[in-house]
Amino acid sequence: MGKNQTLLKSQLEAAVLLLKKLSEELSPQYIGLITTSGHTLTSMAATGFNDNSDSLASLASGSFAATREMARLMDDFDFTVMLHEGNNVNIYIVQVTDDVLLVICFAKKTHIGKVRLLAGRMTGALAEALGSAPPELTRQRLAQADVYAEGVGRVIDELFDVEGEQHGPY
Amino acid sequence: MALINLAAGEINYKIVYYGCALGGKTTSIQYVYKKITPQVKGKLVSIATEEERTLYFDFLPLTLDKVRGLKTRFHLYTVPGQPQYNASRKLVIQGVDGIVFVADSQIDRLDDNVEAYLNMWDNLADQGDSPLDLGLVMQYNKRDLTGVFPSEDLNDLLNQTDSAWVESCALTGEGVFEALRNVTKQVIARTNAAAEGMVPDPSRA
Repeated sequence: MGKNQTLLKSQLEAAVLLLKKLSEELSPQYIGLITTSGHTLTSMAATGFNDNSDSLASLASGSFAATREMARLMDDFDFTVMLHEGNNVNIYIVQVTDDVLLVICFAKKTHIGKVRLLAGRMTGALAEALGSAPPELTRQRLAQADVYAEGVGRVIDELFDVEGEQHGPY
Repeated sequence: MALINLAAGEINYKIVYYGCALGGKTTSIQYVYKKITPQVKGKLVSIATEEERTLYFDFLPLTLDKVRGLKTRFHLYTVPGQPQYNASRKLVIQGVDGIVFVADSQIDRLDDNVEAYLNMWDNLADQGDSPLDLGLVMQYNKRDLTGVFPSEDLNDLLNQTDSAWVESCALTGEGVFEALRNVTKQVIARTNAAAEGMVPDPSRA
């Protein structure tokens, strides 16, 4: 996505197509693209899988970042993949771009080697799909930003206007 | 920097509660979780020690109603305040849009506040950011206690960016929403300013 951190519809549609293809081959319980800051770009979860996607994204990004820093402490600067083997579910995280991670949660019956192989093949295509947004498109879509800001400001005022809250000096 | 997901119709912001250990960061985010409208909040996640001290971070997602077709999402994080957890703090502030700096108003915590404030500057600088470029609110906490610094003095000492400041008592919630309201509005205004700098809005020409 690059520095602008803007994801266009065309980019997401291309990424979702790739994720669907990967999902068909791996039948994961959860598959998602998240940012290294902990935001979810898109995710898919199997029926019955407890999809706490926000929590999952924040924890996965934090875990990946912490493990990468541990690797760096040991002078390993090429850390791009992380695997957790659980009793029932395995979690595989692979870096797609500088600021995007692919997270796959899959059952024990799915072979880890298959996940590594197919996810590894897919990361290049995903990185291409998430390439920088054309600046002119980004500019057009953000042109209404002031109207948006006014509207959100009102929502925030209503949301955080707690009755009885004191604001003055003690 | 905010993540603008035009495909999903979402703008995501990361707000971090920063400050010294036992200053009230986790208590503030817990108060928000307890009191905010249920439809808005997600699950509160805490990675803490057995003594309930923050080990890595607390996390609370808030999702606001759509405005102009865009859903606004705030991800609230705390950092661990204890000095030895600086590596964790550096990771949590990656991609931050706004900071609520929670200072402990007690006189004997003054050095800890200063250290935490300088640490915030250092860690932001390490990732190429500056408090001057982010939303920032100073939340002077524990105002209900005796033996506290006057807020104005604390502000003169700590608030080097002339940012907005709020007195609070996180245990009872006074000032917590005010600080959050202020920082969320700041980060939205910054996104707005950045967008308007890119192209004039035709509807306003």
